[in-house]
Amino acid sequence: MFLGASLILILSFFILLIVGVPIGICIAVSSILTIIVALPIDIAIFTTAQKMVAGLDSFTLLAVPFFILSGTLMNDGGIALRLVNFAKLLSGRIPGSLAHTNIVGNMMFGAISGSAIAASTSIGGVMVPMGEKEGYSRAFAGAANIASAPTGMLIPPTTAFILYALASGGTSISALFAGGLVAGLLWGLGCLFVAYLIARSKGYTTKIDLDRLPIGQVIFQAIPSLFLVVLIIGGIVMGIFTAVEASAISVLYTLFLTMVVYRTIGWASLWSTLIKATKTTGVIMLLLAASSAMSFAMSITGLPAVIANAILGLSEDPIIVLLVITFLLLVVGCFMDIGPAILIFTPILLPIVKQVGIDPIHFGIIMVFNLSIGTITPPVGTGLFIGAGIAKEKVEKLIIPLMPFYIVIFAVLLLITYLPSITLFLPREMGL
Amino acid sequence: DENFNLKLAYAQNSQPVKDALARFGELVKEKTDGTVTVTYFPDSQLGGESELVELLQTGAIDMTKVSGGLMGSFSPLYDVFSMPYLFEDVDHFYAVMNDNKIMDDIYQSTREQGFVGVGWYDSGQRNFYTEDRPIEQPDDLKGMKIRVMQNQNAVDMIRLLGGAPVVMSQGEIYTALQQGILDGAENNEFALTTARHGEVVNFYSLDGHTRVPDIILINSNTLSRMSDSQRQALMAAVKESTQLEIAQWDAAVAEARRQIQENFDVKINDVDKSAFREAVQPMYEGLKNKPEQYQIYQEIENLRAANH
Amino acid sequence: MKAIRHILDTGLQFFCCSLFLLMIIVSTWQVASRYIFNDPSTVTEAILRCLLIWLSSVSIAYVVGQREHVSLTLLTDKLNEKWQLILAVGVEVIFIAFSFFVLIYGGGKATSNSMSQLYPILQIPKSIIYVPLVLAGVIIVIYSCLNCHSLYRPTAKMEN
Ligand code: NA
Ligand code: NA
Repeated sequence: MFLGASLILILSFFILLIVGVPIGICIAVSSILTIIVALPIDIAIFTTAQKMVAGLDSFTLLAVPFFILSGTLMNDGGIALRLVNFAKLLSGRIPGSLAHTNIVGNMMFGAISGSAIAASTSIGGVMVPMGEKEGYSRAFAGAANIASAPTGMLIPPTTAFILYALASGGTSISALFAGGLVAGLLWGLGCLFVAYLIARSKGYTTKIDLDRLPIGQVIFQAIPSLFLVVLIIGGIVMGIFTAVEASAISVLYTLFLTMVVYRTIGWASLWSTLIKATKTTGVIMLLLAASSAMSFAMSITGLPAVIANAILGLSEDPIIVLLVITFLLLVVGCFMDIGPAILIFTPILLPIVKQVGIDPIHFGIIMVFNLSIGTITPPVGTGLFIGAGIAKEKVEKLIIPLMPFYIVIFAVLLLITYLPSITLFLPREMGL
Repeated sequence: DENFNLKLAYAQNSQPVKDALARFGELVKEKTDGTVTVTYFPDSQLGGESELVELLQTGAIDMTKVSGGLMGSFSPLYDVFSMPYLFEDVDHFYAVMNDNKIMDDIYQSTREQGFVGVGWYDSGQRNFYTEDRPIEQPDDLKGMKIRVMQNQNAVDMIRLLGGAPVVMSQGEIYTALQQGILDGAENNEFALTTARHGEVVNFYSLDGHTRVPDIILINSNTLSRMSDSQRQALMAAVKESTQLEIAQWDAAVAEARRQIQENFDVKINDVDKSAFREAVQPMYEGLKNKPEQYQIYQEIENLRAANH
Repeated sequence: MKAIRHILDTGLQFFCCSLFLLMIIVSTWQVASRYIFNDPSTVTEAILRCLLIWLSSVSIAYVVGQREHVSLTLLTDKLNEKWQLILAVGVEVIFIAFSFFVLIYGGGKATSNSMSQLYPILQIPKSIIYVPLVLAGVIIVIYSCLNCHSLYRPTAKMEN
């Protein structure tokens, strides 16, 4: 049964995908077609409806629209510009400083918003045109922005870890956040390293004129934005709110910041920001709801057991198992967005890695890291598409400049995969 | 006889339950000469317990096993089991669960929703576990934030005992205890060992406020399509698997208590229940407004008298 | 046609934005009642889960109207205009079929099935979480018809 089922699942998904059907609908329809292998058609349809709602009926998921909203507010509220100025102070003296500023800016924006897409649009939206003016190739400036945007998915707070905690049946979100911070910083450092090498070889020596930056004012303006990090971490550590509730507090603070402190958002623009956030919520929630149906479709046709047997049949050595899973996830990431991939593949893969003695927190971090790469690889990659739009460059033209970034990021992936202590050190140290 | 391959799905469970369900499949196959077999979907593969009941309703699966606590949202009769300090002791509990007169009404109460109960498993007694101090009398709960399931009886019980009930999903408890958002929670021994809550609390107080059974459910349509002999074999197989589950459960609980004390360094204390029982009396007064539940409660009370 | 779309757009915008704001208020109350007043609200968790399902379903439908659900366009971009039009209409037809079968029929059956089931703590029928699915289905059908209509008039480009 599973062979027919998996064939139907994969074929129908790809056919629908290629003819341009929205990805959420591709996932849902191919799920129904797969469920039909195991159940009568009316029950298959009904179960799909039920599973879509069940996929949304979770308190943990509340963090998703809230992070979207706070990211959109920060985007529209000019927080990006303040962070960019601050990032210039940190990276302004290095060759290719604008690209570095972009990367550091993406990491900082990622650290305060739960949304990586918001980072690449707001920071990249400022930095990429600036780089072009300074004589950077558009492809390079765009690639640096795209490659570093996913750091926001690893540096807390992040929706990706919330989804993993949900799919893994209650892994500690705080521990994932702590481990993800290290992974995200390593990713960012890798990007800085590549940008440095390229900038040097191409002779992008433009340095930002730091003497003309009003340093005191720059820091003063960035402090309220960066204070969000303190507020969220402090609130969680002091037991005031949970990591999920923190997403709502984050919205509340961002509203205060943009409407009262910076006064960059008024009542009218609040309305349009809310509408933007509603749209992003609709896009992502369709994916998540449909993923829940696909997860069911796979389970009812017995796919998880087949995959587990195939992987464990190959070897029970954790090194090999992790390597196989790494490549499996890289392939999955090419075709699937990170949210659905986490929801669909965690229940399948987690029991396998647990069996060979891998820590669920460690696995969560490498899984999210791996699938984050997928957001910037073709053919399906939200980060790649959006980044290309910002760079006003065709996706095809960005692949070559992205190559060195891919290689270094992949190297970091192998590093954190095989040296668990790198990412587990911080959560353990914090007693999480 | 028609051949059946029953899809049996269940959520995360302790080993005694898994073993018993596996044994049920062997038994039913044996007793029906292979005309009834079982395919398993374990460990929440198909969803959480409330989703599983909905899948059962439509016939997407044939059987499931869920907590009696959840069943209250399908039939209020099951809510009686989540009344605090309902049973005198474990023998009283077994006597009730094995009493067909009481249980048949309850099992059949969901027939119109497309499924019925066919048996039960022991899921132990729920006790308080806390960070700062052991619970020895209701006063100890004063001001404590205690996590409870999404169940009105559980909420009412904590309020009457003087605590502050926090409704929170299972997955968040560990971190919330660690962060100090919660002062405690309540569950059976396996919450401290398997879910490792023992790492973040210091006291486990055996007040045994509830004994909520697990309920084994089957789709009514599937059951009615079976021949009489198949149906009897299925019921017998459930009963036998329950015996196995109970036997293993006791041993597993004893082992879990050892681990709680030795591996997790949590102190276990006994509790005199009388003051607790006194404090929750208003809930039993309130039960009089729900005649059907009250009647079952009275039948349970009668067995208390008969047993002691 | 334009008027219908405008009314629908505005109505859904208002609905979703209000839900968003309501969710922030309820979440804040959840934290405040527990941390400040030491009397944790027992209903907020269930209310928020309900609101999340409503916001998600309705915003999914709204995005169909804006034609902004993400899809892979690498291949379709390379086709000529005629084929692009055919595929675009095809996508709308899939949306209509999907809404009709899964959201309206499936969601409707889930709604009626859960009438006798109570949503814990809130003690209201669990149907409350399936109704938005049906609602989303109806909205998507209307939007998809409107989208088809504007696709068939190549001179009048999509309003959005
Ligand atoms: Na982040
Ligand atoms: Na990709």
